[in-house]
Amino acid sequence: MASLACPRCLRRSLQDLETTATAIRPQRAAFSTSPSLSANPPKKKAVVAKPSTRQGSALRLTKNTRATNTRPPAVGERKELRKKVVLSNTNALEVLGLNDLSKENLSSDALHALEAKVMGFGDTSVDRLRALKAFKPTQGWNLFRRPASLVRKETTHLLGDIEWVEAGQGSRTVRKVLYGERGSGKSVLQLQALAMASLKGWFVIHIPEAMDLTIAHTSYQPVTTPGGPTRYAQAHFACKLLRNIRDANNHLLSNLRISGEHDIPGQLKPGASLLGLVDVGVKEPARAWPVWQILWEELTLPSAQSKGGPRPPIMFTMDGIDHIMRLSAYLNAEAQPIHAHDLLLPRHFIELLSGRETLPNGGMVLGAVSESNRAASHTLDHALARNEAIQNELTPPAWDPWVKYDKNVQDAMEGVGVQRLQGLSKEEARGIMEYYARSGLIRKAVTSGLISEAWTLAGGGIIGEIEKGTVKARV
Amino acid sequence: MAAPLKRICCQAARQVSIYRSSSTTRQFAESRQCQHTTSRTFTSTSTAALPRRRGEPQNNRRQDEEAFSEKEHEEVLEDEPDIDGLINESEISSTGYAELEQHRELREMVRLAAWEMPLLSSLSREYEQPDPARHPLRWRYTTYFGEAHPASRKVVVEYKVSDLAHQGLEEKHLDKLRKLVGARYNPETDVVKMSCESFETQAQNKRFLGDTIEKLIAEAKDPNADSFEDIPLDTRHHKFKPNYKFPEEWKLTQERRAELEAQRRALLLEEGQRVEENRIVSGMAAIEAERQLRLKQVEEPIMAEARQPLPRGKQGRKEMGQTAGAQRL
Repeated sequence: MASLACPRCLRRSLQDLETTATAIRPQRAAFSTSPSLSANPPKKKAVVAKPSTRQGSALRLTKNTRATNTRPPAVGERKELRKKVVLSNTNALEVLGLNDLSKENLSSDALHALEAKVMGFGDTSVDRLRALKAFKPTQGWNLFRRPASLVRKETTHLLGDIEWVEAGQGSRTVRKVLYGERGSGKSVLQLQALAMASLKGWFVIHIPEAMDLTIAHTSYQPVTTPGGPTRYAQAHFACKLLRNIRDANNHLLSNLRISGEHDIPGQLKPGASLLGLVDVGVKEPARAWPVWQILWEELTLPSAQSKGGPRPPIMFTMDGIDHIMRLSAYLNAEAQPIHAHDLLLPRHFIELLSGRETLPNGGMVLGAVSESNRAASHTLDHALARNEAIQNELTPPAWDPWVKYDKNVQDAMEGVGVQRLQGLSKEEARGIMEYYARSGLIRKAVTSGLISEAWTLAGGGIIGEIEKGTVKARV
Repeated sequence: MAAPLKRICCQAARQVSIYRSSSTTRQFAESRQCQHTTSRTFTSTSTAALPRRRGEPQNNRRQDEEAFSEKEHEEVLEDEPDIDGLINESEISSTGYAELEQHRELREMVRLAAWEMPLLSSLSREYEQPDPARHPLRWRYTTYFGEAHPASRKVVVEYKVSDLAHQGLEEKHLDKLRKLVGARYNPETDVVKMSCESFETQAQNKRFLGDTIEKLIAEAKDPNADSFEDIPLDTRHHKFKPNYKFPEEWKLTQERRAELEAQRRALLLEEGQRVEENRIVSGMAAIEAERQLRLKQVEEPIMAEARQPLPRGKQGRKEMGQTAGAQRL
């Protein structure tokens, strides 16, 4: 593997850049009795900032000097606060009779009966979803006593897909992209899919923001494939992802054993559990990408061949897929932008989504387009419109011969299923608004007049807008 | 205009009367006029001759204007030709002549309008739409009414491509023509618009356009040339305007009204049923129910004890955690 020196800024190594990602980086063995031979590294001189003579442009009289005895926010502290996910509000009323999504009601028929009702997530589900970073701070989880979501028509359809995959005994894969207006519930539907798959015992992988992979905020290094073009691995991101996966699928990973022969880095016995393997990647970002490859190889072993236990189906989801459908912000050695599909991790998702790589044990690849922070990708837009028309057996809009399309994206989206999320039905709107009222967030009586009003003002039942208009709005 | 004209007419009338009554000859007048024009071209009634004429013209006031209108030019009179430099107030000024001329012209026009113009309608013919098959080209010129203007030489021609089918072009030729004209083609109306202002005169520009169209047609027809069949028509220059129409199903017909009414009635009935069965969820009710539930809950004994006021002396012990209740924790 290439060295970790960043080609963009040669002064600093990546280890310094992303210290948070490295979990443990022992300089020497912690309990060694022998003294270290090497001399201590020379101490760096502390950089003393020169007190500048100018104190800003404002007029400073003796009276208006501000006493600042608070410390300035530490690096990343404000971002952490901004990204904090709060899943409970003790001031909200506990909703009586709020059932959880569980294995019992996880069949199409049972869920169909529960349509337009709000279902909670059990504790294990919440822990797993939390580990996957599937909850987002903007989704209003902090308003209610505990996380719950509306069962809508599309949820039942997704469960139908999951059941269809399971019925195929591993030969079936569902590849889908969710899109729709802003606030129409794409990310939450993805979250529901993850929760349902997790309850069904699937292996769940979720990339909460595809943007993080392409905006050049995380390290990358070239990986030369034999006889192929240069691709780029993102070690630190892979490391973070492995940690999320480990936390969310702990129960599965500890039961599955390594069955194949791998050039495993580190001291890992051949029959060790997959958890041990993932741990290697979590500890060392440098090994994260090889570990990811080995893990994937292990997971996609056909269950009949694997000695380490039957492999579960895989649910692989990614939010904000529009960001990996264009050029990324990374530069190659010639200072040309790298296409997002040349980054190995997004590429892996794309290969699965487009069906070029198969899931021998079955599974589901689910991407969602983000509308709040939309990356411009006209090829994706056109591909979505085309695929939807093909799905509905209409004449698909032709590719304009005079517009430059992204060939990679065109190929990737070929034959991918799309699902457009629209507004809720009135019945579903009633379900969610009654839940708001039961939580004490709407004080009025939920009459059909109120529902119609909220539904109409929300652009035909866009659920995010209903929430904004009824619960979040403060007059 | 009326007032000065009237004044001049009156003046002319007076002159006529003078001419008829006096015995002045034409030569007189002419010589006077020559003299006069050299000395004073623009004279008007002067005050010098006024006292002499004051008495006489009163009788001739009612002279007909038209009686003298033909003769004024010759009939300019001069009473005192030998008095050089003196102004004859009975003569009409040149401005006056001009005004009279104008007036005459106006009358001529009015006469035309009254007598000749009604006859024009007998020449009217019904409008016939030009046959696009025979005249596919629509030319446009600009005139600035004789004024020199840089845009006056510009010539614009428009033609519908499908009209050229009558000129012996097949569909594939027309397709090639559409590709050849490039951004001049409007794909929504199938019209090509070409213009030229490169040359000095309108005729040259028109000639150029005509030649160009001929060349285009020849090129489109040419069997040996590239047919451009593999190249799609480029319409990037044109912005297609969506033509929104009021949806048919949104129209409020009688049936639709009845349908909506039925839907609303059903909803109302359902709502009423909900109210009867007490199934309406209200936030206030939920909050009240929760409050009642909390009130009913038995308070934990330690909390109740903490709520009890202690005698002053023991307050400090309680705070220090030395009371019996505190130790139980």
